[in-house]
Amino acid sequence: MAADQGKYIIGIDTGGTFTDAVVVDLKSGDTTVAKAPTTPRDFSIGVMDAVAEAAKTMNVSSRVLLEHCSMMKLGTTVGTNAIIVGKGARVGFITTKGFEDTTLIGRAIQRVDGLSDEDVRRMLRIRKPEPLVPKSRLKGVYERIDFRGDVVVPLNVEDAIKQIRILVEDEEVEAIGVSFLFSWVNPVHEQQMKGLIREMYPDRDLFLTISSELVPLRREYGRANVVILNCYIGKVMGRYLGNLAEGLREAGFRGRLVVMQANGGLLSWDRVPPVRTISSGPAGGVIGSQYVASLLGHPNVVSTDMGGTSLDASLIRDGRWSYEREPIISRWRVMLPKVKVDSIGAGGGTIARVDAAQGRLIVGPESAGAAPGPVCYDTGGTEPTVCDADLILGFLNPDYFLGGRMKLNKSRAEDVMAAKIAGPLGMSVIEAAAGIFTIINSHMADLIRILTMRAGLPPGEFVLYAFGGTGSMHAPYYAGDLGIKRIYCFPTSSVFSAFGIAGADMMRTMSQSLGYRMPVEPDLLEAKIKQVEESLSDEMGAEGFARKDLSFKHTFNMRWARQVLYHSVPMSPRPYRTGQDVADLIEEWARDFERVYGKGVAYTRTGIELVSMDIDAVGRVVKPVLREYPRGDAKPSRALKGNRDVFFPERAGGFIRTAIYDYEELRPDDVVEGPAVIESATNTIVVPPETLARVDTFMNVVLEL
Amino acid sequence: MSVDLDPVKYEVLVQRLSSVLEEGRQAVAMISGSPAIVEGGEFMTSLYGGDGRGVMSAAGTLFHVMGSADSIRHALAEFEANPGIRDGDQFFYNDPYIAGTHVMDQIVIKPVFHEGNRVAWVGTMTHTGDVGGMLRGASTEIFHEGVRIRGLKIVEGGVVRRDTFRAVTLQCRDPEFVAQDILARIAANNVCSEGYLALIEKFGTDFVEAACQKLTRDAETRFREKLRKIPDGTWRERVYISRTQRVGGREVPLPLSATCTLTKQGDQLRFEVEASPQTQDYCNAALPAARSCLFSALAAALLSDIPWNSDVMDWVSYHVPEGTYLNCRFPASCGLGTQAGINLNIAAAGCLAKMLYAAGLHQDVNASWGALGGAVTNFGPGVWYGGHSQHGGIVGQGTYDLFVGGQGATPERDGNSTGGIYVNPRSAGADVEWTESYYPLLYVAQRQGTDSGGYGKFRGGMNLESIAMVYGTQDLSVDYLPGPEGGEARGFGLFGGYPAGGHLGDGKMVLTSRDALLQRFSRGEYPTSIEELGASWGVDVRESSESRLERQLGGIRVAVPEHSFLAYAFGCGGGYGDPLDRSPSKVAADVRDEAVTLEWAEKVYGVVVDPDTFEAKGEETEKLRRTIRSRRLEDAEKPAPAGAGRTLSPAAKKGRLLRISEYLEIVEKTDGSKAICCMRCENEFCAPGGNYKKHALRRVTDLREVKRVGPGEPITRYQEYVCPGCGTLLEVDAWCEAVDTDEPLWDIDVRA
Repeated sequence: MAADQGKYIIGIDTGGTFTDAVVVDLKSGDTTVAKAPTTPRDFSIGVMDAVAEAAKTMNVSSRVLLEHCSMMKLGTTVGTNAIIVGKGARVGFITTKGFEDTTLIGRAIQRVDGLSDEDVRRMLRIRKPEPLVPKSRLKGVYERIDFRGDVVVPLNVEDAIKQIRILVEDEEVEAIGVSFLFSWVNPVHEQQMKGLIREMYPDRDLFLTISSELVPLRREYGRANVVILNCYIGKVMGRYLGNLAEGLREAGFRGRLVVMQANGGLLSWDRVPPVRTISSGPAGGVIGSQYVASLLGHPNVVSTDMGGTSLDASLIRDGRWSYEREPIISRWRVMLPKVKVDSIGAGGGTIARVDAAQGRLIVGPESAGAAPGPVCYDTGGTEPTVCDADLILGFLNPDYFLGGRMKLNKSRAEDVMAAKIAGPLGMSVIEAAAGIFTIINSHMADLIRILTMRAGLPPGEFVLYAFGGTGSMHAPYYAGDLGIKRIYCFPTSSVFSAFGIAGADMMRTMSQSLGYRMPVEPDLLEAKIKQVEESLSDEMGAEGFARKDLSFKHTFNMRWARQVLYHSVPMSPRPYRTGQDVADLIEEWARDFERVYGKGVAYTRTGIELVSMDIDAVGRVVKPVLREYPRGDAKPSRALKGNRDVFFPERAGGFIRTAIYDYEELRPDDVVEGPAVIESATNTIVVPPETLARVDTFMNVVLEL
Repeated sequence: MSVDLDPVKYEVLVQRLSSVLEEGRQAVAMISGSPAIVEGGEFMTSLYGGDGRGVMSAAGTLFHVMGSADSIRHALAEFEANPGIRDGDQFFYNDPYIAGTHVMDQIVIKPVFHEGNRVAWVGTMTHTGDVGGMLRGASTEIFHEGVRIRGLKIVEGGVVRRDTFRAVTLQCRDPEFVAQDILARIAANNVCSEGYLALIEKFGTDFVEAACQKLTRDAETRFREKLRKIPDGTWRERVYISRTQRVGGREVPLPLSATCTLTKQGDQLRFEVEASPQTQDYCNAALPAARSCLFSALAAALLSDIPWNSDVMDWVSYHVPEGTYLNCRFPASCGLGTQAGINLNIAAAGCLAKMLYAAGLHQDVNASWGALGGAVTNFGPGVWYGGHSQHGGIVGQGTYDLFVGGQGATPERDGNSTGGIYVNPRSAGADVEWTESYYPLLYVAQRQGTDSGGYGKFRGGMNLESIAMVYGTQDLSVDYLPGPEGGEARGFGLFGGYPAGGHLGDGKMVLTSRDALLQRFSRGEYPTSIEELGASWGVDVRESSESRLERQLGGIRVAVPEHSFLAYAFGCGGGYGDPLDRSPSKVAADVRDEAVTLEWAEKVYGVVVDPDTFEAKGEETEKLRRTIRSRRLEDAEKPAPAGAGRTLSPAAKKGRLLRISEYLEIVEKTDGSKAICCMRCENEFCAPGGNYKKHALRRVTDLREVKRVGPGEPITRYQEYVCPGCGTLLEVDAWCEAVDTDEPLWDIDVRA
């Protein structure tokens, strides 16, 4: 690698509306952020455009930027998009004979998976989703392995050959997924299938996934979905990444293209299992939070990303995020380790309406999205939204939205607010807007409260990171409501997922169901861990990491033997050689369980089961450093750019003449006293009355509530 | 006291209330040891006023909304003075004569105090499958059914009472399992009451109470507004299930009938129920179960956009005669109270579906859902296991397959196959890999049942078929109902769609020879459908001379040797509309997808499908459908020949007043009179206020003609009503000659 090739790294997050880029200058620590519209017809155009935007800001050509870039870290929605628009591969799925309908039955819960509570209550209207693999391409083969892994019925090879032939020759499938019952205990039949398929069709370009290699986890329905989704988006993803790699090369890029996964780590574009890239954008935000939290010394963080349609919230507790179990992709429950991010329909585009029968003001979860968008965008939106309320209250600057690139139509927002909300409720337009503002903040506070309580800590124990275009406008209110004392807004807040992706490491995760009654024999546990670590090491070896350069993370999922769900505890890797080592593991887990759920809630006499473990193998790669800026003269008046009337809901008296600051002109050590608004091209920070906003040495704005 | 309910504050409060209840629900799920709760979603947390009036419930099992409410009302009436209802107390209930549907429905309620005043109640109810007592299936009175507690202070002053706690748990087979669930309920109540008190701190008692009252008041107002927009009328539905009884040393079928009559006038609803006498076994529902079942029907049909609130049952009126199997007299056994009661739920849902159709609210019109059907109430082996698992522990009672019911067809689409049960919006089955890790079973098939969904223009959802082999234990028993395989129509179809029925709700138990079986396994084969599970695999217990199906008290339990097969067919959905109206391409797709066999595609749908291309043959289909229609007209009896079959001339028709079914409308005639007419052929049946069925043609058909059913005389038959003008199938009723007259069920009486 030439010396100058290592000058930059680029982080990309492809969102539904915008593709965000963060360019990090590894020497100076400078970061440049840029946005370009996402281009669903060919996502790589949006990526190239975002890079070009960044280059423009940096006053270099795209070519120069790319030539000096050692690594592009990419978050992509190609997979998600293929699922949403139904443009995936023609997949055939093979399972144990007699269980061909598993993905159609979907444990019945498939009917409501991925639906809102409101929809679930409309019981008589709910339809099951259209299957990704129709009945005619769901095939069964005679074989049965029991829960211990013993073969009860050997694989019927004749039947297997017949079913494979039907799928390939009659059904003309492009991809085959195989998932047999209990293959996670004993993969022998799946391995046999893999051999047969490769042997029968050595020259066909068949995309093949067997479940024991991708997700050796108990629960066949969620496992089958993972396999099917992987097959469904496999080729689409391969084509996209191949083309992008090619395009980048032509544009001068000589570095590595690596792709973000939902587990929070990166893998090379030609090795990443496609299904693992789904929902990787929000994971990027969490990784970014964890990284920043470690630099700033925050053990407990609520990170919130409030965009146009939703609020994504996640927790860092004791410096770590957690995995979500059986997350749902679209309508499909999957057994995949995914960084836990909770979402509710609360964003700038969230629609407010009046339920006349009850005289209720209801906000969300529907959203006007980017199209038609809020009324004030003047792009055809007719329903009042949170963004319209923000504008009416004076939080948003109609002339400086997106740095002035888009003018907001305040009078139209007021007219619609009057007609649709204020009139029916007998309120003034301001009261209506303030009501919407308060209600949406309360929704977000409710979500965050549940998240922190579930983690066993009251919300006041956390600091809050506010991201997204709308986050730092609302955060002082939803955080204040929860007793949170400090809020951080970052220079990269508006593209924070891209920043987080830029800060991610290479990682492979293997989850393995175990089902051990504790205390397990230390040798057995140690051997299993070593086996998984070996296999991970091989895979990471292909990524260019020697075993000694890898660090491992262990997450143990355990429960009291009479519990149904389990509680996960991350552990630093350690050898399990003696009974005492295992006893320590048990004790640490039990302590954490009590901390989260309280003393005495579990029936402890029945013992503990080690259900499964997730092992992450992490290979460190370059990432942004936070740049420290020189201190200023602590006179924020230099940044004062004017005044505006703003309505702060806690000061019900009326509008307050409020100072408006230009973020770009602020310097470390500046302290802005509320009421104030701090504006940048991509962000608006509201400083409520009696609140202080301090600028720290990294140019973060810290609100002290 | 008047409180100004600022709409913004109110909205914030309402949302927070539901998030408090959701937190409570999550607490239960995390701590509970019951798969029925965590996997199956069988639980609910609810909030009530200090006086026990309903305020709000989280999304869970619909029955459970009523259960906590009934317990609270009981505690208020009985325990105020002795032992007293104080801050920090919690009470345990599981008496189906007071609350819940059977003793497995266990409830813990907690009063919430603020500054010495009782300001609210919270309640958590779960299905917890161990209550000690006799193993299920044999009981004849409630005393056999184990723990039955009519209120017990299990927490006092915030501390779990060791004496009362153990008094409950130690009577059970698996005390730790029961203890875990009680603790989960207590924890959920604590979470909810703390959340509620935090709201009072924030908003003040007056505001919170006024807001809670407004919630209930608004719910009632909206409920009544909805009713006022629906035409007045009366609707009826009749459903059957059967038990068996010992007569002259033989087990013979004992059919149970239930008819629900729904009358809607203005903003009032009334349910009038007729039902067979209570049984000598445990298939009975006490009144609280019946009430819960009516509530469930109302909640799904009318309350999807109105907060769920137990007070609903005070807004409507209902009468279920005492001494029937839907309102049994103490001390009748009611261990199957849920399944018995669900028949009332289905009958009420049928009335509501027809009412909503007349109101034009087609989106919420569903034919019957397969409701905890199949194994539980039907013939063959049940799912109430006893004995020991492969790990040596007490085997859990039931698997969760019974939550995977097929759902009813609608005016616009087929019913969801294997979609869930009516009484729980989040009902779920379990993964086979999960079940096999805890139960001594090895499944060889779990599939959607071919030909199971009720036939119709839109097909009922297919059911779940499971075949499992007993594996890893020498000690397993199961309840057994020795009726004929098949032969009973269940649920209802709508407007010419068929009820779910035939063999498709029954199971079988097949005794195998171990060595022969293992040899076939080693050759790579096993049975993958109930149909395949024939004599070559072993002996059906029904035909076995060795297995003695002998009663112990009220029922039969049989030992199931290792390597026996237990095969279950669970409930499926009813159909909608005349099957001859189903588009031939849909039928062809059904054949391709194994939803319908070639044979029944022809016989019932009149569609000839090419078995190689899976395309419908146009001409042959046309011809066959014409033949079937004319056969309907020729074969049928004419209950009221005089006056039937007139066709309304276009000149005499002034306009349509109201569409009352897929095929029938009330028209206004030029002479000012009104008539019920066929929308296809203008056949005039009768004036509104008359039963159109009496002016239609009728065929009584044997179930064997439309479904393949097992040997033996079917218990019910179909009464098919046909338009004399065009041969369209207007309605298919299940009918059991042994318990009901042949008077046509007057299902729609709307005067317009």
